Amino acid sequence: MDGDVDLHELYRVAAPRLTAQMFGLTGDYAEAQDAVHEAFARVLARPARLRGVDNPEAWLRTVAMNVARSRHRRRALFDRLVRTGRLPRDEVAPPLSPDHVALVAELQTLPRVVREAVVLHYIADQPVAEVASALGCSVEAVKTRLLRGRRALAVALTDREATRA
Amino acid sequence: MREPDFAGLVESGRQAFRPDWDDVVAKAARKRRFLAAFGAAAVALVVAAGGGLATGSFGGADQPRPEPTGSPYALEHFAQNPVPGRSPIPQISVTSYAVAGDLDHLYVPVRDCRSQCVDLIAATADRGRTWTSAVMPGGKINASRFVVAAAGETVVAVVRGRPDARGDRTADYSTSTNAGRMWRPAPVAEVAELPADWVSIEVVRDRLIGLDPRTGDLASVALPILEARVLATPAEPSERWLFGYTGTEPTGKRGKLRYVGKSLAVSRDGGRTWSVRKLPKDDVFSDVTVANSKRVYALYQSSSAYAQRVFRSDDGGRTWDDGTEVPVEVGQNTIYGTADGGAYLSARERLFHTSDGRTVREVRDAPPPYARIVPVYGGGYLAVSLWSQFGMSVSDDGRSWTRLETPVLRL
Repeated sequence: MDGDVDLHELYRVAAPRLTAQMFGLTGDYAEAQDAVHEAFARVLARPARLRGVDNPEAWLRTVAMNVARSRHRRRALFDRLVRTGRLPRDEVAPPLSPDHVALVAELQTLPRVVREAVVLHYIADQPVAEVASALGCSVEAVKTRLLRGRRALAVALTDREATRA
Repeated sequence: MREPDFAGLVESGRQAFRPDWDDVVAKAARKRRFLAAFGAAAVALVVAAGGGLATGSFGGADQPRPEPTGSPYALEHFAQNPVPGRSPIPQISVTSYAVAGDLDHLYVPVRDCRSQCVDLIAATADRGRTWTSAVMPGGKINASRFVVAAAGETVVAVVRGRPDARGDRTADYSTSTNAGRMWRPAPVAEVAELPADWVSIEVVRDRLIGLDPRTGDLASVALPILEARVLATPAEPSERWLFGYTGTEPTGKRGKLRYVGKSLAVSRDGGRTWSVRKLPKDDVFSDVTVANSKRVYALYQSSSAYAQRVFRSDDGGRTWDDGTEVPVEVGQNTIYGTADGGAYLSARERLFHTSDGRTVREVRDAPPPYARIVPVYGGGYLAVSLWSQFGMSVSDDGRSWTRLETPVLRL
């Protein structure tokens, strides 16, 4: 990975996928795309960072996830201000079907560790062992989180459907 | 029950993406300007000193751990169980002894507490010149997590449970065959004997655990002695040496037992049969070490604080001499044998060497006192010091030592 051309190509291929994954994680499409752009910008500023990395997309995903986490923490204060009504906040969402909007909304209700496991496994299509490695926990812990997450989502989506009906 | 449509969500999310490469380029340009303004070296220094600005911006916390390029952190601090908020701690600490897979492959347990604490393993494949890190297995930080053995790129980590009524702990092992990058749980199979080339790791619940250096599989064999521990020895790999007790006897307190009959147990057939050999005596015992298949030393306290008593056996512990008082003041009370028949004794801030157990000389160009000196799989020795600072030395022959540079981990 050396220079803008390769990175540009990687951006073209991987950025849509990564953004979809970060969207599942953050529930905010603009935030998701910004985190992915931030990850690419860090590599573009210092291309040596990708030297020797076997899987650049996985590396970028990890950076983007960490960026999203950091921003989430920093935004906590900002969000409190928003809730007091002192600042307006724009909700940005892509044109999605109601079902997908509901799914993203319910993902945000899951605990962070569960949500990350669900996003990495079901949306980023990572094997359980790789999810465990990325999250720094055991395979058993990932399986437990996936089970909890999937069960919670299924219940919540069923409830939503019943309410709509 | 309605199942979530993840595939549809991914496809919708991808289709909604509007490429904006210019935004990436603009962000990267801002970062380059910032880097140029402050200088990469200054940034590295600030980060090494614990500067939150640099950590957050170029961060460690934002980078995936396997990435070898990042901010440098020197592994020079030892803290057994660092937890933020309890005491002033460095952000990156060594938490226990390093382990060698061979003289080139070294592994160091590390705790990274720059933000949320995480246990890492630092690894080198070039005798300490460059280091990488990966997350240790077993979930959140744990004071009972250790790297217990290695053979080449095969590494074993353990998380120990709380002691039960007998004082025994459970042990959940994980092994890696690629120098700690990927781990898998490693259950311990009970077998009648360990293959000759398997490495003896430790004793748990009166069974010796062995490691297959190729696959990372673990197995255990029964032992003839109690409360045993493995004696790391530079003797033949197929020889397994243990120290333990042959029995128990009541103490003055009701229901309390004490272990008696300090002994060596030696097996040359993978633990199928054992030869049990009594140490010279039970009382005032300090330590025992195996230099080679014949020469064994047992260290005992003496009546003086400025001398210790060394017993020597030249037939593998079957018979012992009468012991010699050597002028080594009380220190860590440990003795480490080397294949040439000699041994190191650590004293208060001094390290001594004996070639025969009868005379000692102080050595200065060797590992520091209180270093733990262990033979390495494949030959050679590793000395690890956690005394005041973390440090490592390696030796091919147990006589001449090379002090390794302070490991620098990029995170």
